[in-house]
Amino acid sequence: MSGSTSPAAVQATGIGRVFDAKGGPVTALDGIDLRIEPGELFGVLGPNGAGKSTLIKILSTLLLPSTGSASIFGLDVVTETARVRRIMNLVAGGDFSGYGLLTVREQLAMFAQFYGLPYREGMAKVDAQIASFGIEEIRDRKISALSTGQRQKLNFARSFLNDPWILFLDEPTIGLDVSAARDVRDRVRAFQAEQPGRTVLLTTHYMAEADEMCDRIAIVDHGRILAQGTPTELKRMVQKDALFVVGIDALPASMSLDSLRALPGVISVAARDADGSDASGVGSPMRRLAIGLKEDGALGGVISTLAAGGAHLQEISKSEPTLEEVFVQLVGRGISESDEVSDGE
Amino acid sequence: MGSSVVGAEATALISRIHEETSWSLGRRVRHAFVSVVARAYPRVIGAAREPSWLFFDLVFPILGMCSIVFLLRSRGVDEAWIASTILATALLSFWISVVWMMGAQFHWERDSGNLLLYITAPVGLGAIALGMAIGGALGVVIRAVIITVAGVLLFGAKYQVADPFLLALVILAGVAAMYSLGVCLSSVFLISGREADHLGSLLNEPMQLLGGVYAPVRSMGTVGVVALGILPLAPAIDALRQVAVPQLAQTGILPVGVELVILLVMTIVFGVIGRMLLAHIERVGRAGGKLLARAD
Repeated sequence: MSGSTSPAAVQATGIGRVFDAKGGPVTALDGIDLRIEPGELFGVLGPNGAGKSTLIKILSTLLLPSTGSASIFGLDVVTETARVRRIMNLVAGGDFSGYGLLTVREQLAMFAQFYGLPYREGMAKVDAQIASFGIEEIRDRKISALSTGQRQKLNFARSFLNDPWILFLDEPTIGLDVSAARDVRDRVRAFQAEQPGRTVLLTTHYMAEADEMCDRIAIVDHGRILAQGTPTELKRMVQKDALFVVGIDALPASMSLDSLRALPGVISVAARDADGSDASGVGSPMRRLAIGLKEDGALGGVISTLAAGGAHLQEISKSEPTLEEVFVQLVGRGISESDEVSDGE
Repeated sequence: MGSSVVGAEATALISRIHEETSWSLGRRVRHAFVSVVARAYPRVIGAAREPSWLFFDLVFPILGMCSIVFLLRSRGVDEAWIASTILATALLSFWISVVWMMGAQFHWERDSGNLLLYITAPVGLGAIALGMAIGGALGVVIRAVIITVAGVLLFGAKYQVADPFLLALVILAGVAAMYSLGVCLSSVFLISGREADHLGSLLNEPMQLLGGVYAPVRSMGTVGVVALGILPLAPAIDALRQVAVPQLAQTGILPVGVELVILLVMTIVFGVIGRMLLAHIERVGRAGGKLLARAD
């Protein structure tokens, strides 16, 4: 997808941002190059302080870059801010905006006017969003009486009112319970599916969320993009070889792990269940072998050898690294460790 | 996951988006107008939704008014001054709303996260500020009317309004000038932080004195003339006193017509300065990154 010459939804070139701080200038972004295609759901993954929010603020016209340039659907975020704002919307996690005295419906109606929707069309969209998020029962409730999850659903409903071509989501599920987070993720997917070309830029430090939702991901740390690609591409970066887990009843007496390692195309063989006990606790005992191969095709030789030796095959699965492992390899620490040592953005 | 649009489809999509984002002048004006109304709504509805606000906004001004009236009566002052005090107290409600509510509003909007949403919406801060002002003024009208009615009922004040249109014009011009100043104050308070807020509270009583709430600005000599040129409250109360209480017309520092012009000029000047300050806020906020950001 990247490298295309067709117009991009987001095009950032050499974006840098330096903040003045008491202890001296702080570089939040350092030469970010980014291209997001129309219709993509692009994730920016990184620990607190990595520069994710700064990047989203620049792209959403809230902040000027110190260096570089960026455009949204060909509109410059520095010089064509008014036009950019007509096609975008933003949801941030932990957002408690709004007026406590207004009801949910009134609040949405107010923003529909701010977004330039004609009154009737605006009210129809307000009611449609209320229905879409399943918050009909709180439509006449004051904002001050809403729970965190309800508030975030309201924020999402607000952000969909103007049918934005680009939606910026800055840690949108932070503080939400599992069910509410799943609801909003489903709505984001549905929102994109409704109209080809709708683009979403998501910042998060929830690995599973990024893995589940994003077409492509950029891993950011200390203001730089360390790697970007599809989740599968990123995982391949840390695991170039194929890794399979093979479950058998027992390793034949005539066979050792070393003999398996000697097979063509086999790189490594390790016992996953060192004690040989039944991993599940039920049924026949099973022994799992983690087998690293130069290519998937070498698996056939391993299975044939095991079968010829008398082992009964019980399971085969291909093992993939997680984004967490990708992150650790690229950043040099886990995301939770990063959060602890970070100063925050 | 989304499915990306590339090639000719992407080109067509971007042409469509560029067309959608090119708003005509008429559309921009209509949008600004409805945004003003939309932002005014929470201000107007607020008083009805939170009766305690109305109660406290009425009780304290009426108590203040009573204390001045009792003081004036104990000194045997002409009853015309009682009528004047009641009107000044009613007009003071607008002033207090300007200094406290308008002044602190952007500060509050920023800390609640609303300011970021306003900035990222295709609506100018000018429309938001105007909505705040109009909504604020409309919300205070009920209070001002109740204070006036309470004063009339409690103290039997009498008014002789020869020209109701002129009276309405004076009130309208006074309120417009005050809220125009309020737009400036809201920007200044946001830029200067809590210090400006504290300074505003500190100067509240002196400003009321200089505004002619307790005594005509004419009696203050040069200080009164200066106040007339700076504080919208001063020409507004001075003109109101001349129009609604003719017995006190001789206490006016300038003819009503001139004071109306002063109020009009103040509305325009403060409006222009306010507009510049709002643009400055956005510019500085986007450049520095802190002014618009919520203080977490």
